[in-house]
Amino acid sequence: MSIPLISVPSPRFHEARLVLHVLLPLSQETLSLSIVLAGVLTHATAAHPTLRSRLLAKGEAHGGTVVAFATMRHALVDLAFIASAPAGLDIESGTLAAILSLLRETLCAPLLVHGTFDEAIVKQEVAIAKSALHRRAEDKGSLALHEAHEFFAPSADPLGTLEDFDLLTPERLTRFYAEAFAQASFYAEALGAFPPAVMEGFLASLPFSGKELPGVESFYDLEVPSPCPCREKTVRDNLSQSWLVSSYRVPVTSLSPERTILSVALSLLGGSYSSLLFHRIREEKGLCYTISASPYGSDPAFFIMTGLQKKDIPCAEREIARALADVAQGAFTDELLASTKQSLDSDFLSLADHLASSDFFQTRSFIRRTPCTLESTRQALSDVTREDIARLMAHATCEAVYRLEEES
Amino acid sequence: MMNTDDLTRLWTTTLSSGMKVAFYTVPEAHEGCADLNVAFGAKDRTLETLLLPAGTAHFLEHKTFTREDGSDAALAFDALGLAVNAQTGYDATEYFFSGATHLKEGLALLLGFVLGTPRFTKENVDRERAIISQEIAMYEDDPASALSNGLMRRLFRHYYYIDDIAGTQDGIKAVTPELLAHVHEVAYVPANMTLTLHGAPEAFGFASKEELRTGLESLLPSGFSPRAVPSMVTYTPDEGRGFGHATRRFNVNDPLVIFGARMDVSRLDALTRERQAVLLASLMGSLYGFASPLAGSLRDEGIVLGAMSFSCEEDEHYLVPCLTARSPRPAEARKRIEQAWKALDASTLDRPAIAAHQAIQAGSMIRERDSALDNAMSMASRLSLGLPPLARVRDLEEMSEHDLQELLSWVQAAPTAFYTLLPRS
Repeated sequence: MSIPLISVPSPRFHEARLVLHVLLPLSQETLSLSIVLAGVLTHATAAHPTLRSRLLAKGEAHGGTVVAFATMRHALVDLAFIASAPAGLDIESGTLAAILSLLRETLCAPLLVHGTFDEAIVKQEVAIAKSALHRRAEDKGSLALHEAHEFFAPSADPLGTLEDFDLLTPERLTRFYAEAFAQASFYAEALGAFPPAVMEGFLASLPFSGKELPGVESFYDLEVPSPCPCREKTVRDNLSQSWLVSSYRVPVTSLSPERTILSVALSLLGGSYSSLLFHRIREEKGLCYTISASPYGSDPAFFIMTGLQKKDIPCAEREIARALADVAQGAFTDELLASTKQSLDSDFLSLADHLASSDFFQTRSFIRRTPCTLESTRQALSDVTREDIARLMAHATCEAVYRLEEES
Repeated sequence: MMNTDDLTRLWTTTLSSGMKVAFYTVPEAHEGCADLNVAFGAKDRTLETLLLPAGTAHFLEHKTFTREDGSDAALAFDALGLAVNAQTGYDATEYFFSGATHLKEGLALLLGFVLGTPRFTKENVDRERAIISQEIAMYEDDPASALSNGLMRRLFRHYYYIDDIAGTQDGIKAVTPELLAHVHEVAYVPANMTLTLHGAPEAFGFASKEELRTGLESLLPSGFSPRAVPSMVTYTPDEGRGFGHATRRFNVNDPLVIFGARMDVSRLDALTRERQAVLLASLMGSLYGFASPLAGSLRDEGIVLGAMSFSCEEDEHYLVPCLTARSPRPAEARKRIEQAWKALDASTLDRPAIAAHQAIQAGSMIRERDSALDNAMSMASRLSLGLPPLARVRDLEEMSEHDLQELLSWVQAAPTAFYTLLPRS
């Protein structure tokens, strides 16, 4: 089947961007391999075998770039290749052709040595992937968040795992490249000033025949979780500040119809200056600088996270429990509900001004096979009621509390 | 290359109170953004005859939105569905909001609160001190902050870069309601401010450039007239101290090394300085960037893990390029980084790579205009320095041999230093 193209032409953007999504069923190993593969493919091609020659090619394309990222999205691994260029260019200038040529090489003509990826390049990309894990461990807030998430047996670690990276060989990665591109589903977005007809021609010339997207229905039709005992862990370290992360399971993923209700609930809890947690724990009690409530990526879970002094943790835990109980009982003011919905509505409208809007709306449409538009999203938000929020949050069960405390 | 429509989108004016204004008009946009830039930041450690404790500007940023009844203006922005925030830098403090509705009301709120009379009491200042103390504690655990602060203390003896923007735990203890009120009264005047807007003119209530001027005049609280803003910076050329390198044990998995140079550019005008900063970033990219031969060798030999990251502090006196590397063998990393820096001269420059980095930087500058907040902040920063609000990208991209030679002279004269964080165990 041909690669579907979503085109959002707008002459007002200063950037033209073509994004090719290579979608694969989610597994930890697939994600770990994709992270390294993205680096290897953007490192060297047969035509530009060194980073320097690729740099010069980008310079000749007036600062256009070709990059790749592997991320976990909605029960899928999304290996995205992004070619972008400053606007004000037309195809006659050669810049567009140069960037598309670099993208084609990146996708289809990697540098191979005796049929496999170069060992030194693979080794380097593995080192880079491991560095990202080390950086996370050094950012204490991110570390606490990750450790709390681990209690849930999450879909996958978004940064990959040391075990996968240690087992990775050039031969394994080369096989994965061939298998992944043969089995993936593809779709593309042409955004900004890229001419759609040129993009269609480019996509038609790629040697890929995408497969049907794997079913992800089970990812958004979820059972209400059975309550299970909350697990707690406390770690002490040589720190100036402690971190408290509490994690909750809730029957909503990033693709669930109820996702908008969860967004409103979490925003009420910790998404604004008026939110219950920010107001009570930071503004009234002065216990913390940062506090927030957010979903755990695509997983059916959310977390509440704050940085504070160890002595204040018990008080913060009580206030968090009280705020959650209030939301689950619908005990919040009309004004807070109205301003929260208005802020989210403003966010959706603003998103429509960004190139990322296509990614937000169209990716959901493509994966769910039902339209997701700005209008339908705003309508869903408008329909959210106090009762919806209370009903959903009554199903939230605290499954983990992780405390990273400063040593006395 | 640059979209020539940009200049027709730009409205600029100066209000009778001295406030500078630029509006990048995007009639088709849903989103709008306003940024009020107050030219008072962490570098301002003296005010008239008063010495200010470290963190004063940041403390004031936290408290400026306190209403006279004690409540917080941020709640009023929430009620309008607008996302509001503020940030303190070395040069300035910025208050900004964005959203897709009620932009006109948001603009009136912003001007009213930043220019109005905040309410500072012992109680609300003490409570904010506790919050800021937690913010500083967060930075104290952050390797990037520890590296940057450690390096600056090697490069400078008394220049303001030696203290974190948020201040110190001791500094914030010295901040009082009376001090905040005095600083606000003196520094928070329209003549010391720049307002930039990005979005649809009608959403802000202005149909024309003339309406922008008259509308803003009517929004400003009364009682402001143009006046000279007191000099707030005492600048003493800094000889620095203890160059070389220092180390510290920290919560890191691998050693982290930062390298920096102190380039005195006091005699340059703002535009030349900007050109030199762009060229410096390109030079650093060609020398230490991911695609450079040196970076490739360091990775291949296992001396550096991943990419080295580049940043640059800049003000009217100094350019301070900084390079950070994750390195299991920090002594070798320092040696190789320093060797490359010292070997820089006209014969060793990788001119094609420098040109490529400049093109990539120029592309980023152009793309920045698609982001309401980034564009508004960039315009405010440039206007406050006396530069045109929109960068002339082609000017910055073009590199002359003279520019390069001048940059090399700064590089060769610059004192340098290293700072290294080592794992505790």
